[in-house]
Amino acid sequence: MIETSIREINEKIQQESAFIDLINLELNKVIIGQKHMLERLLIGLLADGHILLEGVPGLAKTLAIKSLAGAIDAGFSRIQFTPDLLPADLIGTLIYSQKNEEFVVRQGPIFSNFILADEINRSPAKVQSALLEAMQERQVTIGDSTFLLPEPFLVMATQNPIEQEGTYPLPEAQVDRFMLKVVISYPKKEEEKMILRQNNSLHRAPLNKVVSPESILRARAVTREVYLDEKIENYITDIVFATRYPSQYKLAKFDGMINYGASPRASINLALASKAYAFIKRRGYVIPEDIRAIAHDVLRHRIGLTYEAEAENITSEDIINEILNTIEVP
Amino acid sequence: MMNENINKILLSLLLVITMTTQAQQPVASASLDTNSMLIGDQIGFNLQLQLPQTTPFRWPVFTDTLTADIEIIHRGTIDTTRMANGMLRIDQKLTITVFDSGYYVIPPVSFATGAALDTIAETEPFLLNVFTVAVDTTQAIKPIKGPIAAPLTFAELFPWILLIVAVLLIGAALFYYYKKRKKKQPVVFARPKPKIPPHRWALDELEKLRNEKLWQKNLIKLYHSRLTEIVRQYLDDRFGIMAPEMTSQEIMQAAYDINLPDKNLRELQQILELADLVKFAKYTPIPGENSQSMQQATDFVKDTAPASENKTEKMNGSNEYTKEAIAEAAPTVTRNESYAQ
Repeated sequence: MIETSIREINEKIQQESAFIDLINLELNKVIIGQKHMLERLLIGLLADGHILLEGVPGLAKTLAIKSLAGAIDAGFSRIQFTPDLLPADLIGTLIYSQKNEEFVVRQGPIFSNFILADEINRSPAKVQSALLEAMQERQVTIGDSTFLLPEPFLVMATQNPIEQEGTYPLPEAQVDRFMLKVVISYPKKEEEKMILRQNNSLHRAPLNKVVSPESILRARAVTREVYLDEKIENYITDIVFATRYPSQYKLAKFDGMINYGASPRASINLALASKAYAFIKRRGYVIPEDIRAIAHDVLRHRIGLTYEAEAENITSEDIINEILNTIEVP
Repeated sequence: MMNENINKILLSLLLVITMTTQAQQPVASASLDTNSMLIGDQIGFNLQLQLPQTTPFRWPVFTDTLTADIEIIHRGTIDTTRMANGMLRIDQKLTITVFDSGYYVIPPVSFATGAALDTIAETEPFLLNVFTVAVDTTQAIKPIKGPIAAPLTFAELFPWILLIVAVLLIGAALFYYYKKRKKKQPVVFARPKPKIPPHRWALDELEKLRNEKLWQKNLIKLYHSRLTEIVRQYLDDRFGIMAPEMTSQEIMQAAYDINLPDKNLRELQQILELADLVKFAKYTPIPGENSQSMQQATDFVKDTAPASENKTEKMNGSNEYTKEAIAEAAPTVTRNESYAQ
């Protein structure tokens, strides 16, 4: 007999998760494959966490985010980050009105529900900071006035992994603000063939707005209610602590390889993202599978490696894999 | 004619007088081992003074250089020899070197002689050619040659020989002591602790868990946690599946990969699914489900135990394995294709 609360959560999930299929249908009209990326975008949407997409150019990062925003009846802004972009171009500024003889606020493109920060690492730190402050505080101050950002507010940023001229890598403290860092790989051969056909076709199915922002907010509220047992909490803290003190978890081989481990924000985001993952799977409680499914995306940008690790060709992915394979599952 | 003879006699006398006088004068001389040397090489500069034994003289004092460029490495002892003709010969050898290539003049060395030391005897000056090593610029530059090891002397080796001998003596003494002590002790052959087979261990643990009556005491979560821990450890020990570090889904996949019979796969799945619901979804099973999990776990362990163990235990009457169960545990199992879905 499942306790009443879990049964209720399950029923709520059944009611509120219908839009997931609708969004998936719309996204599949324009995106072939990349199921992992689309699922992560939904996790970000449900868990109220910002997402950083990383992949080589041409993997439909921008298209996926644009399409997701297109399927939701909400505001969308795309900001192309360039080296000459200024914070005022992002958040807005005060402009003198000759008619009224006073300064008026001109809000920037950040005042929208969904923000696509394209190639975020092409702008210098001051612009990145302006965006990331808005991400954290969910408010923007222009002049003397503070403006709350609309709900839902979600930043989906893209960056290319290739070292190029004129790029400014995100500092560790700023990259930590992203709930998930999703690494996108090339599509499979069959998928590539489908992409080829779809792009050569004259007819393209238009995207419909199938979800309202209110549905998203309701789904978020249910996601928060998903049951997370103490055993799962212990599992999460064990994983995060293993990134900080590997030798305490039979991972002494990583001593001297990890410069800094995952922050408490990683624990919080692991819990939130696993709840969202359980919601997507129509389950009212979190199981260890959920943690393992999202652990890489939550942790990969939160583990700092030493020069020794880089010299040994050890990546944060290797460390996460080893941690997951070593820590006992409850 | 007579005048001619007188002249000859006078001339002869003059010659004899002149030669005698010359022989009594102090004579200074010097010689070099060679007048052409390699840069940094060391050569001898030999000084000699001959003078009557009664004539006072002053030998020059040499510091560490002969001139600004010619360095004195070693000053030999001043050697005095009394000669048969009443003369005295004084010798000294200086070892000199030059650290730059070129032509160098070794100046005359002056010796003060006579009662008032006012007569000066001087050696001849020398020209010394110092040449350098010819550099072949067509060859690649090579690293600096390391220091040449000097041959070891016995004095250097002696402390090490002593140390080795001491270590050998201590070692021999310890060996002798150990052997003597061992002889005194009675020989005891300890029976090695038999390793408990995984299925035996699992069945014992399940029996212990059953006797603890945890779910009857309303400790249902603990009961299912313990139950799955035993099954996971059994899978690890029996099949090498790292089940303690795997999720239920991963365990099922691994069990499917090793071709376990359908019946056992179903049992395992039910055990893990029920335990997951209890552990993570606050599920409260009815009493029948709790005891069923225990029965399924016991059956699973018995069925998947090695076939030889099963047979042996059946013959000994120590187990209640059935013939069917042994047959099912045999490797002629079929893959449950539907499970892969």
